[in-house]
Amino acid sequence: MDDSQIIALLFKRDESALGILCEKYGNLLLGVARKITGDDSDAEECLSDAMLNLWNAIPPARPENLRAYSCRTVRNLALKRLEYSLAKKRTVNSNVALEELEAVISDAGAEERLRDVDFSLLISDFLDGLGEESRAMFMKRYFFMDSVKEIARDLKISESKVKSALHRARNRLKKTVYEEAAKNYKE
Amino acid sequence: MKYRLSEEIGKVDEKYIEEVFKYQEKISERSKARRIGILRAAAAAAACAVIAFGAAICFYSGRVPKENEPQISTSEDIRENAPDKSSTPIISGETEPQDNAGDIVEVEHSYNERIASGEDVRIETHIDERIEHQGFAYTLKDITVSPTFPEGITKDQIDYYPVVAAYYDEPESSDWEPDPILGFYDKVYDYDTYAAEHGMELIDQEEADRIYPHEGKFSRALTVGDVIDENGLYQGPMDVPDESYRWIFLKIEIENLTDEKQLEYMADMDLCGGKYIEHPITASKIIDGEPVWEPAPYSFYAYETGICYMNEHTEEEIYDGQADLKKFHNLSFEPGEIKTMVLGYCVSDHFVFGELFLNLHNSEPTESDGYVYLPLK
Repeated sequence: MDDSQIIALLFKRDESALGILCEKYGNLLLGVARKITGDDSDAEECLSDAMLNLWNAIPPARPENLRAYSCRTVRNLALKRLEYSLAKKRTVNSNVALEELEAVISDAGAEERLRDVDFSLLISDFLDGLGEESRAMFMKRYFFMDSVKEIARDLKISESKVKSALHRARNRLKKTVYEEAAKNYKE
Repeated sequence: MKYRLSEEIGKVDEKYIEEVFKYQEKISERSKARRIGILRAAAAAAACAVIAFGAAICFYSGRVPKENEPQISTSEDIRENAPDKSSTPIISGETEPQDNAGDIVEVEHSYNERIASGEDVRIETHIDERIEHQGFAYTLKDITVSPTFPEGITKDQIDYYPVVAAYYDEPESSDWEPDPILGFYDKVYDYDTYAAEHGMELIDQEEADRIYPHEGKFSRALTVGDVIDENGLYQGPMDVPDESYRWIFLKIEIENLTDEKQLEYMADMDLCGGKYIEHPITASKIIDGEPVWEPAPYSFYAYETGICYMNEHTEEEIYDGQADLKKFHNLSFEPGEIKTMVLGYCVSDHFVFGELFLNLHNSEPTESDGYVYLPLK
């Protein structure tokens, strides 16, 4: 069944839609959650929560791309769970990716100045400025929390290239954030 | 939330998320296409060797080139008719742009078919500006690829291992990854399976070292790295009994050296051609205790020398690569000295054997300074 049909079922409040969705994307979503939480049972709970969220969100939402929309839902739930885990001092691999990303803000010395900034435009501009491959790497690392090795494997490139590209991307993001912070400072 | 940027990235437009899947699918498709090329290559390789053997005998029997056969360009010809320096490498007589960029199999096939048909395909390239653009300069003046065959190839040299792979033990460093010795495009993690799938003979490192790149039959068959003087050994064209393939030899003239430098070259055998390498030595340098990742210029040289040109890759793609063969041979140059190298290169219907990576440096690379590229213009 294609995604538009699943969405149509959700609009009809047909619960079978969730089963079909789970069958179609369940493994993918579970994988996304597992990478972030680093824990099978947490990942499964994220998946359940994601299904509930999707049920509640669609309608009124009518995502253009159900796969991406579902990934985003489960990813954000997993991230919340991860934060909880980290607060409990549980070590999770994806924490490395999170720290890499957050260092962008702190390295740019912009934490305070960016408190009220709407990042959506900034991040979109940043992503648009990356090449297709770099963007894919960036998203895999910082959206899906893939490891460098996984990215290299999936995109058929060397790990050193992945590291190199991510390093460049983070620098670029840092520059973007820094400029935004400077703008706020002037204002 | 503590992880603000991560949270914000979680809100990105769905198109960016979906793009990841689509990109992966694209890569996967491309990989599949390359594998097909490799399979074809493996199947054709043995035939190629046999034909080459015959060709060598034919050539060596003292055949005189026919009058209307295309003649080889000399370096003087190339200089006089040098293409616009801003242009990308060209094939003589080619007027159409390579419109299949990214479509590797198609492009290669098209190119090789033309060579196989007996066309005097000559690649000429003058590459100053592009190299400069990358922040380092080149010293390769002219690069000619002609369907020729150098004198001195004997039948015992036309013998090579078309399908050879090797184990590399995966080192501790995350910078370095194992690759099959032939350097296929794709990362290969399971060598046994891969070799079995592609009809490859899997050998150990010791055996690989013996064969590659300069001491074993493999390299000798192609005369990789043979250094000859400017007046010698470049002959042709040859009579090819079966036009399904050609041996191609690169004549690379290196000059304008202003100081004693080292030319480091690496000849790589690649069944599909158009591969890029990122050498781990140059992949990082340490600045203030932090590794800084940088692309390795080998990739660029490989591209710019025209060997990989046929795929018309983007800069990003050029940097695509695999930590690959690390067998080098150094040539020392005296100031002002000119040396010519001939490197074997085989083209057949579907594939290309052989790649060359050149790197000029004036010191051994170290962790702190990486390679030094010389502005020699």
